[in-house]
Amino acid sequence: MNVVTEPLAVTAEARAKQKAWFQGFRARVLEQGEPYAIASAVAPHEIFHSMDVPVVSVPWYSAVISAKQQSPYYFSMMSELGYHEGLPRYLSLPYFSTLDNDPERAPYGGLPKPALIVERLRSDFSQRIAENWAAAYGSKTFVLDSPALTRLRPDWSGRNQRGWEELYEPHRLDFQVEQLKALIRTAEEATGKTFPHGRFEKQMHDINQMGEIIAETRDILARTKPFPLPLSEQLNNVMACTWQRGSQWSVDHATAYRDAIKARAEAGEGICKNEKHRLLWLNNGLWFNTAFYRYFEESHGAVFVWSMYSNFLSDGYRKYFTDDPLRALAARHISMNEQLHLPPWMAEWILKQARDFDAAGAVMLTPINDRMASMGTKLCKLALERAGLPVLEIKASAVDARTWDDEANRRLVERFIEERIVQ
Amino acid sequence: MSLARLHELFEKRQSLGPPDAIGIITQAVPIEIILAAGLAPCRVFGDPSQAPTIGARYMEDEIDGEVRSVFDQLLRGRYGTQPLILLPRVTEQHLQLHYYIQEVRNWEPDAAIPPVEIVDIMQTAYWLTGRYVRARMDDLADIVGGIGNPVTAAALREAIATTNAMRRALQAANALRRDGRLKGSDVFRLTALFGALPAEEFLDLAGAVANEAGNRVHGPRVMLSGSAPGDPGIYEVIESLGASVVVDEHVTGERIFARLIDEDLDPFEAITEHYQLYYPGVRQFPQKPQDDRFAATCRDARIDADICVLETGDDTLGWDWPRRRDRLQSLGIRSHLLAHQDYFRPDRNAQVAAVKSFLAAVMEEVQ
Repeated sequence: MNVVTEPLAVTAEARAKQKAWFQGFRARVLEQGEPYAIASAVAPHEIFHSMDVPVVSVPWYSAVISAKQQSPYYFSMMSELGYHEGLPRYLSLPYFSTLDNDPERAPYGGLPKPALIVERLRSDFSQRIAENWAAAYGSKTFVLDSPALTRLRPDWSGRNQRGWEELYEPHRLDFQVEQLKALIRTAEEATGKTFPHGRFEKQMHDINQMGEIIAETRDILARTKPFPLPLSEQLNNVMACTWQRGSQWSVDHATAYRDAIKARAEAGEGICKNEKHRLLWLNNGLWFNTAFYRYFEESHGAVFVWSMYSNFLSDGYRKYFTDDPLRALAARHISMNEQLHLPPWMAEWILKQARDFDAAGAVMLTPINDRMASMGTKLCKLALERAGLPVLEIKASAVDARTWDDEANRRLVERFIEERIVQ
Repeated sequence: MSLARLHELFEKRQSLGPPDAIGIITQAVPIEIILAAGLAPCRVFGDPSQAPTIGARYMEDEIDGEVRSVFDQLLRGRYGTQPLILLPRVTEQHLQLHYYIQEVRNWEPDAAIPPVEIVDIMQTAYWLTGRYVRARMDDLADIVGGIGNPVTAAALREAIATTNAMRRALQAANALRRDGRLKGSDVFRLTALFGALPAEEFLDLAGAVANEAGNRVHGPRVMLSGSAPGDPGIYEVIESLGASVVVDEHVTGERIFARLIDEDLDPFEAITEHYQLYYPGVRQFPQKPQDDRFAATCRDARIDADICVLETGDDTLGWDWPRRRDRLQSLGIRSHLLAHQDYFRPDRNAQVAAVKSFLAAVMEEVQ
């Protein structure tokens, strides 16, 4: 086999796109005075994309801050202001960069004042960060409340793309659609732009098309041996498509990403010279240290092949519809947390990935000081182990580099591979 | 005598309801609907005296102690005879509890867990949310009415009058607490029994407790805020140091009875409005009116200090504290944060030391 060491050209393009997008966004906002929105990951960015209003995703900017090693500074600031150490950190970094108000320190010069901060209330704390943050800017907040599912029906990933009414429950979707209508009106008033329904409908179709390409890519990755792409590059490419979803660039990039992987697969190019074991990475990404995923390739022939970011864009985002794109958008975001973090949905999806990728085990990052992401981990671990998939749990912050013990965690994974994977 | 009776009833609060009563997890369940169906409610309390056993296999330690405790007790069959348990979505933790209960039935098929229904009361202060909550009230009336009598408007109106009478009794007790004549810990106990005792017995008890109120106690006047405590332990720590808890701001404190349900409205609309907008909850949005109310209460109750106690794992109320601390500071009131307090095994000695030191500093300033 040929061992590839260079990143794919499309990966560099994905990074460059995000950076260029951010610079373009700052120019539009600061120089041309255009309005923009800040939104959580589970908020309907599609509304703003359709209106050609830039939208900054909170977890994306958190990950950028973390990757640029700025999180320790902001976390210290958080403590000095009186916020206790146990508060969730992942989503609060951008808020503290605003309070700090230092464009030299904040990645890409920081976030200017938005027209609107949009939050979906999947947790109890996010509404507080949003409200505090909006007050710091003097901006408006729009929150989407989050109705409860009466039942988590089995096989969400097989039922959520077509005929999803029963899965998500009609009374919840009715409510969510009305909330989206209210958001559209608020966004129109805050930005002075009109929501173009036809363009929105096309974007919804385009996102489904992009999801199909990502699904195809994921299938190639799953069946190809040796494994052709590091996990970190999967994240770069898929997340860039996620944040840019609905744009022609995202469809084109997903296509280029698929083609590049296909070419590697056909050429028999792999990333690990002596691949023996495939592992899944469960829960949040380790944004400040993505090199960690590759520590075990040379020493143990163990390759991380999948994380939830690899194909949630295809499995979770696609929503096929005939006549009501707004209801499809409602269905897209209404149960994301349950799909990714709660029993039994979390485990059943992961087990499917483990089978398809021929994974021998999984490493689960259970974030500390972020209990929304730690919920469901015990039942998930039990379910995976019962199905024969060994799981190593690492408890650590996904974003606070101060608390990460690289050597100790490296040894944990090494021991896990030696004792539970190597049979 | 009546205070002794109050303490006795509080101690056995977990076993007060009849075996066929409808279980309610927190007082955010509209018990008016249960009463209107001719049924009795029974409170499902968390138990800080017993760390989770079976539940700990399935539920993470980061989740609120009360939720973990209720989950564990359900798994251990404590409420196995109830025909139904109602679980309000007052926090995200409670919603997760709903999902965990569904899943754990597959893992513990022999556990005597009764049917559990989520009561999806959301608390964003919008008309649209209100319409959603109203529909859920109708659903709840259908479910509970299917066990007892159909819930009619007349029966619901009568039930509202009954619970309002209990709220008025609690308001009277609270006025005595404000006046320094009833202990904060005792009003906390009495509040906890709202919904746990039949109305007549509750009103008798509340009346007797009020009649037994003593002379005014002088000492620092404290607000207790933050996480909802599972027992009166932290009140007693503060009281043991010569201070009085004259206000409790947490979600199981006096805001539960501060407002009556409007008896002039259609009764279904009245309970919708009450539980959506006025029942204390961490998901109430926006926060600004809550902050204004908080500051007004501090001023009206003439508190000398605020002690904010946050449970280990808190990811929510800690976002409010710095802002409220600053607001209180502008009123000349000091606030002290006791974070990372364990629900099951709080370090009372450490609490005493921290509160003692804080109160000494407060009194020095006051004098």
